[in-house]
Amino acid sequence: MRHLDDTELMAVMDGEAGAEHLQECSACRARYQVLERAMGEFTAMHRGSRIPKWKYAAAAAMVVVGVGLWWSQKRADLPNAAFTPGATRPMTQQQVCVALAQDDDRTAPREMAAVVFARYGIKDPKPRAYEVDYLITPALGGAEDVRNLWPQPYAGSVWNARVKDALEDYLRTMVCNGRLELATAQEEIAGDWISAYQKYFRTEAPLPPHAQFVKDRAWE
Amino acid sequence: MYGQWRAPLLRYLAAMGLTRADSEDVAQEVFLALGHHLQRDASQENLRGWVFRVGHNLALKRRMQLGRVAESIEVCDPGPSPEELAVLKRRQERLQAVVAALPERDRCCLVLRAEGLRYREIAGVLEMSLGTVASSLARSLGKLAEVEGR
Repeated sequence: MRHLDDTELMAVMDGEAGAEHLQECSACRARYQVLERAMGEFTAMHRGSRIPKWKYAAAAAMVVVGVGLWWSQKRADLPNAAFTPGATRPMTQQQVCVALAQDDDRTAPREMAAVVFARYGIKDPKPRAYEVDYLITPALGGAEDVRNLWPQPYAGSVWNARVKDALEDYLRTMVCNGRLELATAQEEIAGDWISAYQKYFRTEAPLPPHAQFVKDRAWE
Repeated sequence: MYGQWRAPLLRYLAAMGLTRADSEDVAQEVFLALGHHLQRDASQENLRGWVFRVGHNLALKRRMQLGRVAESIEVCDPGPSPEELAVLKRRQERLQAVVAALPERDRCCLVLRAEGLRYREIAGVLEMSLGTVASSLARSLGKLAEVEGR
């Protein structure tokens, strides 16, 4: 089997080439993760953010090689900005109000979800463990793009997918009612959705009704 | 737009070697130009790419005028404990040295990518092909991945 060279792997990283080969080739997958990790590290350094916590836990990372980068971020409930910066499509405030039905189907296409897992180095995701979530929900103009998707833990975390769903619904209502600019909503949810939740719901922790809220279908 | 793109643009300009004051000046010029651009009913496609492209060109112009660049990119305060801070600082310095030694086009590609631009957008900003962007990033990340001390 021919291995992909670094340039071809970089094309996969941006979605310019398919990730099918990575599913079959462990050597290419390993190299891909090396390059992605280098990109993530540089991004963190460039943006002046703290280095992801996985750097402090090299020994532990030996155990969680396939899951390493994602699980070991300082805030595992936020996506890695290098892999999932968010992506939008043109949408007006009026469309936010009228296009709810089709955009409320938030399940990412299965083949795209597989690419997302590969990008995050997650092999064989456990059933019902993740929701492959849109960072910027389609109902708020988020694009169907791997750079707008990430594997969010469905449960077992305080800031889980259910809590984010509640924020998305609230922001959508705000935009639709003209109380919030669509671009602002997109920026806040892509930048740090947990801080946005705390700001809009005026709370440090998820409100109980939201933490219990079950809506989306988990990855199965 | 200003709130959304100002900080990424300032980081990019700093990575191009402008001082903070010069970066602020150039960013101001960019957003003034963006205002004029939008008033002319010009194309609103890929405005983020437009902002970075104009910023890149203005930064090149500013550097030529000033004949100098900032000595180094500021290393952020990385860690909570003194030991971790020391280790991480050494690692960041190694990484910074690698980045500083990259050809400017490669460094610009890398920084734009870190700001979340897609390859197609980077290609537009730096006026290069999609394949050149991918190979540039592959070279840079290959070098960064070889840095020891992780």
